[in-house]
Amino acid sequence: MHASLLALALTAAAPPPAVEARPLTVDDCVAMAIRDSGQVMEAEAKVAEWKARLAEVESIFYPKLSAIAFAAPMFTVRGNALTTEVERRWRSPGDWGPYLRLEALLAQPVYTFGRAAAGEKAAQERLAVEQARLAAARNAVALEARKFYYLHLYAKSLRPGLNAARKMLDSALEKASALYETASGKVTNVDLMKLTYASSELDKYLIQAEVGEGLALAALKHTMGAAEAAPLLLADDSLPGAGDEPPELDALLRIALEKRPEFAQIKHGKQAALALEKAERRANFPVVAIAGQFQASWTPTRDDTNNPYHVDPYNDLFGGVALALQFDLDPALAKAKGDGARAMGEQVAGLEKLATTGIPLEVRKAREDEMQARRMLELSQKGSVATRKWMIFAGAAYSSGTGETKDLLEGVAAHMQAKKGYYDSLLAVHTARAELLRATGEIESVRLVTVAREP
Amino acid sequence: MALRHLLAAALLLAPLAAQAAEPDAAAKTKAIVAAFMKAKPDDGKLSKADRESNTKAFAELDALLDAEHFTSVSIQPRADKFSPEQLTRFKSRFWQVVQLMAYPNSGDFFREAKLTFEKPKQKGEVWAAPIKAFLPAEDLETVIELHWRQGPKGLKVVDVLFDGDSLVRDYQNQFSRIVDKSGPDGLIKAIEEKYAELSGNKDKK
Repeated sequence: MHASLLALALTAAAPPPAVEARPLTVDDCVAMAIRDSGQVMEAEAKVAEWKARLAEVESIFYPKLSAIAFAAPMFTVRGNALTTEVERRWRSPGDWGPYLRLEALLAQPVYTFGRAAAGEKAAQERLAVEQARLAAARNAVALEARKFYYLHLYAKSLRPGLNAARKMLDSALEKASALYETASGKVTNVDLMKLTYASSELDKYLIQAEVGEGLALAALKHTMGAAEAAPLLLADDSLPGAGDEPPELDALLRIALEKRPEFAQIKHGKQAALALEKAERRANFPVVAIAGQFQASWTPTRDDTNNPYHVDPYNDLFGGVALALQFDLDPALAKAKGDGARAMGEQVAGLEKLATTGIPLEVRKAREDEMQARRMLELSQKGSVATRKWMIFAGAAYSSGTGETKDLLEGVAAHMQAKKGYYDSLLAVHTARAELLRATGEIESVRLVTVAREP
Repeated sequence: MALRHLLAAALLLAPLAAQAAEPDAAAKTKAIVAAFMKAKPDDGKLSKADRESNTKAFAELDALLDAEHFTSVSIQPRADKFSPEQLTRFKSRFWQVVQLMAYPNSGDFFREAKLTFEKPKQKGEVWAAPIKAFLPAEDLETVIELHWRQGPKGLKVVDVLFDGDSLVRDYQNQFSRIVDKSGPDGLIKAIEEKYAELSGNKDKK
């Protein structure tokens, strides 16, 4: 018993399993987010909902059976409608017997004057809209996962440099404080305060990097649909290089035209609105159906009249087939619903207008953002190399006794700034590429380049 | 920190005439890095074995670096301002600073860095042997290029370039500036103070 309790306690205290045993690349994380994200699951459920609605609309083509059957106790009545006297008996249990009845109506719609077909088309197109929305949700989730992946690595990339600067500043502060106490004039209070200020600024960066690293990882797990406590190992330790330049704008626009789910949403949305309007306006038309009716009742406590001119609810058998017209007239409602559907179509037309110029603009902006970030990265790289040399040569001079500590510290500070600038630009490149992928509707970065090369 | 050690490693250079064969430059580059990796900073707590190992490593490094030429070239632009005695004193002290600072600290740098030795290329009279060095702990990446020249005593390092910039040229400019401002005595005083700091620290510990 105690062992079971202990096992239970251990189970309860055990950390959640790792998201995946192997280290995950950015594309792995995106694939997992697309599979497990709550946002995608919600969109998938919407698709399922519209599949069910389509089936509901299609059900109009199937036969409908409405029936009622019951069994009830019935007292005895002897005689019938033609006899002047009838005898009723109910006092003793023997006066009672069973009464069984079945009424059934089977109707098979055969023609709806196009209303059912229009309704079916509207539902089919609406399902296609939801499927496109699911694709859009996947793209949005992919963008989010990419952004958090790179943001985490950005913060992680900054930390080694910041830690190194921290050690160097600590050592400089220690030496400067000792020199200040000797009153040799080599270090003044202003020098000490400059170092102290630099130290506090550095600590701010360190806090930002530390918090940002953890927060971005938690957000990535959330996007991937994983528990926050679940260990997640990433394939990269720091921000990867910028990689290839984006394809030409024309190729990207071609991909967007083909893959952006919003275009599919608009196309199917228009069709859905048109079909819905048609269906609503034809609501005043009758439904032609073949109807079959069957009625049967039986009880031994009543006499069977055996006369077809008598309506005998107690002992009867009746059935027949007929061609029927079913009306459900409400012209005002049908018009209002038709107008509503038309307005929906106009909304979609407005969206189409917006998307026709908006999506190409998004693609262009994302591409230009990436190109700009790449140019900034190149400059940041030059700046980083320059400050690195500044730091190294100031250090060499300091080591030989012919250089100033100030030059070295300024070099370290400049190098830290330049490094941060470099990683800022590198993050901007990755973020812009993630935006470009979303703008073109492509999920994988490698595929974007491959597809763009296709004629 | 390892960065400091890289800075100290920057003190290595010395020009010599003649050419070396490429395989020799490649092998000697690996040999000098191996020698640096054996040298440890003397914090006064080194074991007897470590001290002996340091002595051996220092000797190996002395054999691969031309101290005379290194010190001469560094002061060459203002050598005419020095008396023969001042020049001798400067060269001697400067090289001692190099030995005390650069040898052991370079060892730390090379031990901590991820190194990629690239194929040496001939550049005029020297063989340039690039080493790509990356310090993951500090996210520092640099290309150190050793320039080897064949001399009467074999192949020796004559200059060290960091990301393409010559350390010899930097020292020449630094020393010239100090000599112009404070004279040869000012430069000697700065070097002497550094030597006192380094040897004092060592003796204290």
